[in-house]
Amino acid sequence: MKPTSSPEQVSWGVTLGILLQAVPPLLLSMYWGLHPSPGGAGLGLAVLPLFAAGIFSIGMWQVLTILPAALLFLSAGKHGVVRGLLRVGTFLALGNIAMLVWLYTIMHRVSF
Amino acid sequence: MRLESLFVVYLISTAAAIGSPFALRAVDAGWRQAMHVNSEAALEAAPEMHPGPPQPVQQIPVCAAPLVQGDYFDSGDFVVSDDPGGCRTFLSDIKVLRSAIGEDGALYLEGRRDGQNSLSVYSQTGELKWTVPIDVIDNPLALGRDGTAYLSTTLRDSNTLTAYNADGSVRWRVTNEVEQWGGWVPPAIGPDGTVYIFSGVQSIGDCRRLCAAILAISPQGQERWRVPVLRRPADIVVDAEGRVLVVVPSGNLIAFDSQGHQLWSFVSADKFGQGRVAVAGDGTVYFASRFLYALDRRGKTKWVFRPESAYTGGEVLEDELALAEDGTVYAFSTHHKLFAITGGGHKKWVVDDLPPGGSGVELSAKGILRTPSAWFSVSSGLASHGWPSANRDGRNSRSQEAR
Repeated sequence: MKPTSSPEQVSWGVTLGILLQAVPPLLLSMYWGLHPSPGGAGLGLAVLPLFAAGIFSIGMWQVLTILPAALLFLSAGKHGVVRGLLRVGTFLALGNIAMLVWLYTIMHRVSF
Repeated sequence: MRLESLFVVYLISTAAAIGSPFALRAVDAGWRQAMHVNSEAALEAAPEMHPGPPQPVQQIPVCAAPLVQGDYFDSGDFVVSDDPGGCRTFLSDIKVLRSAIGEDGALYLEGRRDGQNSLSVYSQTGELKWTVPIDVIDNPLALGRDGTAYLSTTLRDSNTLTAYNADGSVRWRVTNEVEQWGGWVPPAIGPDGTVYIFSGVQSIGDCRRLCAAILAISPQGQERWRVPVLRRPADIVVDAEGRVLVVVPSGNLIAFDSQGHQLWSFVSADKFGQGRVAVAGDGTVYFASRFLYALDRRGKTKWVFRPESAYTGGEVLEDELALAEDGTVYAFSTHHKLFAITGGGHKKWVVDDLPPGGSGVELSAKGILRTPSAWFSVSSGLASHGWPSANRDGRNSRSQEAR
């Protein structure tokens, strides 16, 4: 298969990369809905720390979403889409680091 | 950029994003452990701890009334006694919410009596001396050395300070008509008899409506001055020289002279707590606001005492303090530890195995140190000068008057 790459594909990749970020929270909410706790409050409380960690670890979400998608499109020869996905992933990862440092700075000011 | 390079950049940045929370946590933990705290060994062993309520080893005229008003709601009756063996005298006709004890041993009780809010005064033997109806019970009262009782009552749109003579007659009333934020700040009386209160006022300084202010009222009921403060204070105390110290949450301590001029202000590291203050006879101000700060007369820090888990475990000192005659400062931490700190800021001793119970510390004039769950006999009683504790002394007299 001949690899293809075009600005249109890159745009598709960017859009797909952004949309994929909604997948982990959707899966988690579905999981909570399907596995209510005996108390009736949902499994949310038990999974909450995991979820909270996930919010601040977009890098982890990308491993679960963008990386598989990029490998899939790479094997299909859609290099443009892969480029778009990787750009979104890189941007989100760096943004995640910046956000964490910013949050840490605020918490540092409050607690020191 | 080549696809391979893009992949490498992506992988590196993603790995960094995954690892950054752990790295930041490690940096934060290292930072917290590197911060200076008072982890040094105590100078001496703590005195013997006696769990449970204190059994009086010395005569106390009246059993100390707990600060927590819920205790009164539960039992219903106020318990008083002049019996050193325990509290045996009960006043069955009043449900007490707040109390103070005069220097002559008279009991000033705010509570429900005959279905009505009242201020009732009893002799030490439980005989009713006088009673007056009051609108609401929302403030501790302050007692002057001349027997005058000052009570601040707060309705939704006004605040009234009433001065009662020793026979229960009203000497004067001062009312400020403005929407209030609630009471809970007891009046403080200066050495010259001036009464300092917190009140909402209509307009002051840059504030045009619903302003918080400290008011100075003369013993004759005339307003001497008023100064704005940012919000409702946590505490007002006066030292022996007439300096008025106002704790404004969170972490602000402001000193005014007796004419209402600001002398200095101090900002602690506390971002959330209320803060408590006590003043030694030499003018040193002790401010419990996350850490314990000792401030000189100009508001400059002499030393800071930080509990060992202050940064790593969030342990803070924000409860009321008690100052002993020998300069020892007693402070209670949020980790249920009782600290004795020397006047120089060193850890004298610490008790970290107190039985479960409430927080707070109270020191009697004869050296009985009490917490809600245990008591100790210490070498020095409550300081006789300055403003050494919220309760003034172990009798819970709460005269709220500087001396």
